[in-house]
Amino acid sequence: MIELLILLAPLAALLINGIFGRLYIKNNAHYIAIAGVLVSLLVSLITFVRVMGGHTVDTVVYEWVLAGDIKIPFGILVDQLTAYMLVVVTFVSTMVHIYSIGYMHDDPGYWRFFTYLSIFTFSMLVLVLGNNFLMLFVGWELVGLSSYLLIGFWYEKKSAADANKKAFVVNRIGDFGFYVGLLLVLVTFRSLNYSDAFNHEAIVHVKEATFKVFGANLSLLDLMTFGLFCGAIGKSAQFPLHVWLPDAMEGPTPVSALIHAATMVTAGVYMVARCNPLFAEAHITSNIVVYIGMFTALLGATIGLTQFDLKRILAYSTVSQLGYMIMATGAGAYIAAIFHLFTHAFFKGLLFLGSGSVMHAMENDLDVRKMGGLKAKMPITRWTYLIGCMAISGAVPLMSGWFSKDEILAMTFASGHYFPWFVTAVVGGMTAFYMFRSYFLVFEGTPRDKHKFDHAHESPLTMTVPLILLSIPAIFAGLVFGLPLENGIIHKMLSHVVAGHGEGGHHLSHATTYGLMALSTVIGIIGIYIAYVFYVQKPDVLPAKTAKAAGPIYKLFYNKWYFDEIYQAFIINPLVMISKFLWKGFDANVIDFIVNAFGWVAKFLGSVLRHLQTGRIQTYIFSMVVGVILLLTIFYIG
Amino acid sequence: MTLQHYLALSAIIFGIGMTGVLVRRNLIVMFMSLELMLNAVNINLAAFSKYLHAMNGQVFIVFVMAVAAAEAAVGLALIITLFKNKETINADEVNFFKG
Amino acid sequence: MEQVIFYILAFVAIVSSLFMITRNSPVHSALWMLLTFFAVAGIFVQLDAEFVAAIQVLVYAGAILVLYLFVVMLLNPKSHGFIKVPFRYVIGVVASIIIVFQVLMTLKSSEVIGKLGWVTPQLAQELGNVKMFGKELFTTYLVPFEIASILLLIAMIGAIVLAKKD
Repeated sequence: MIELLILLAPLAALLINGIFGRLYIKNNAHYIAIAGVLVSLLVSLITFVRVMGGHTVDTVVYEWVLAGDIKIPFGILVDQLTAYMLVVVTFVSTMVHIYSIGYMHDDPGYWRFFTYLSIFTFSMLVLVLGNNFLMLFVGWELVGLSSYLLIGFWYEKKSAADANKKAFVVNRIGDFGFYVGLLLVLVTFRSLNYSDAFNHEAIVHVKEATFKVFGANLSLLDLMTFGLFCGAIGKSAQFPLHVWLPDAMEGPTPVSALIHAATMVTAGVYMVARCNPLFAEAHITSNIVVYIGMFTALLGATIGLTQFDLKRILAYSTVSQLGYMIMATGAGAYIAAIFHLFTHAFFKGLLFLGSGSVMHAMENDLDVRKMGGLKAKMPITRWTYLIGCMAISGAVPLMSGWFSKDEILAMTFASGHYFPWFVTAVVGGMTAFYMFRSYFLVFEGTPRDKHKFDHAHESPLTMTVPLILLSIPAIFAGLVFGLPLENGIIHKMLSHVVAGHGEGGHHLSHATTYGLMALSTVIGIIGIYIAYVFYVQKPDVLPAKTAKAAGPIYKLFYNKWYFDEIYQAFIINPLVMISKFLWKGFDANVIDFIVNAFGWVAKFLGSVLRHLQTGRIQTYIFSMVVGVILLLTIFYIG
Repeated sequence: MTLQHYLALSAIIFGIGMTGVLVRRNLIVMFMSLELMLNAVNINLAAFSKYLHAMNGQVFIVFVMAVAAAEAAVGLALIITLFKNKETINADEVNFFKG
Repeated sequence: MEQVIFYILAFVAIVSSLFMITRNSPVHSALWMLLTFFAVAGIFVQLDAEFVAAIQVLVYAGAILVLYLFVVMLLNPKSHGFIKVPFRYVIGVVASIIIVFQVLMTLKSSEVIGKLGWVTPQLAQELGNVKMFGKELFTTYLVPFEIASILLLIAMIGAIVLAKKD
């Protein structure tokens, strides 16, 4: 039961900081928070090693909910999938905690920030460690809450307050579907435990059940998984609910790194991978998942091509990478998806923290057009950022991203989804392009804003050390866990969780695999080369010219495909109009009229009946006598 | 003699007492009428006691009398207080409870 | 013989109570009430409730009625007749008549059903009314008896507090 410590340590830190932070701990809050998360990290690593040796845990700590014959325990499940998630969450969280010491050092809400980080870590661990859907759901909502709190950390800023509201509301839409999915699981399997729901016999039993929806026969599993997937769409920022993630960059940069890049947004991928026995049998949903993932990857990448805000570029790249992972789960390549989740957490966390370091140096300005030449001033940040770019681009062999992304592409190809494979392969080129675009604009070339360049400086040790520590797994995670190809440590471990399906189903010959890898590597290198030509060789001419040539397409990408505007026009405005009508028309006139009418009736009756209240005893006695007479009469008649 | 005879007598006396309560204005006389109604009830109790071969009816009469005595004591004290304050014991003129 | 006595007593009780509620002077009313009490005491005797009849005379006629007379004479209120509004006067009488009528109608078609108690006529002959009464009161109804005594005590204190000059 040592695993319980993983949960309890951040919880203790959160309680201590939450209760005593404001008055007593103040600027020492990081000691407690980091102590908590370090304990979690250490225990997680121990657990990981034990799981590697085949020691999995599935225990009930206590019976939590008892309703009739439905029992939902507070149980802990540590299997291979959980072990990976634990390492990712606690490791990135620790790095972000340390980084925040430097990044947040003079913020008035210092203690509050660390309390929120502890809340997040705790919530994410609940999500990952639970052995039933209810704990997953509780963790799911708790991470939503901490995300809300952290996006709106600088709540006095209107954009931050708007962004956290947006994130919350958009997530609610997805969570509604998730909730419906949970209820379907509950009524189908009479239990929310993973062990009951993922039971092979139970699934076979319900496999044939179908519903008629709009004339089409949908299987119960399709509906169930689609509901669950709606939750993933919201949490993992998939089309059409991706709009909240870029806005979430209003939060402090460490938060963007931890929550909105490395861990929380991957909860959807984790959930789908966790439910792989269900998704594997839901063919319609799986196809939807593939295409939504593909489209999201394309969407994120195209928008990322044109943005000038460094954090937004990274945010759209996150959207795009999440699209890859989701697509992989849809194609049945759950291991590849988790592998990419694993590597992505490191290099995307690294990139975000790097961007925070740049931001720190540039006096909180994020416009890449004003940067340039920073490699001279910030060598550590530059090198680690470059490592991150190389990893994410998938173009540099043996970097972590190269393994995982190519595996996703290969698996998509192998599962017969040729069109999505083609699109995402091209998107890989775009990814390489826009990531290196950001790198070249920020670190290479000549400084564009002299004043800011002069004041730029390398960040303090608390910020650079996490960068260095994160760059290590960003380089080697693929080599250590992914070799030999499609049969590395991660594959061997995770095959216990996704047994009998996924990658085992589709096998490519080695020649095809190498061919596909070479192809995507070449596409990536082309992307990098174009970025080099555009932004190092002729930075003043080519980008502007291309933008002009592309015209409307450029505009479409630059304005994020007008999603915010479309939602504003077709969803928000009509809703506001209906609400206004209901408020001013319906509520003020109809409801209020009814309420007032009750008042008037009571008042009128009172004004009539008060004459009965004469104050004379005999009147009262008389009415009593009349009552007796009536009763006797009724007695007679009856 | 049947039970009904006693019950009929009791009903008549009860009715007379009730009429007194309803139509008199003097609070003291109203109180007397109340005592009359209680007496009618006592006749009832005694009659049932006899015809059902039970003793508890008579015991109840004693309790009723105890309560009547208490009520008379407190009621008359109230009437005295009322008279002291309002110079009247006319039920028509006492309407503190008018709404 | 029994019937004759009953009818005489009933007649006295009814007539005297009618006089009681119709006399203008409270003193007269009180005196008519006295007569009613005596008649009712007679009825009690006829119902084999000698002890209760004795208390009726002692407590009602002796104590309560005297209390009424004391109050009447103490206050010496102006003579108040019936309520002034004739309509209410009439409906008060009518309502009472209706109730009495309804009760009498009920009685006409009723019969005594119920479990007979332990007081058999022989036992009553042997023990006598007072002994049986005491047995019942001080065994089964001991607690209510004590409560009644407390009630009387409270009423006494209450009456003193209320009527006391302040």
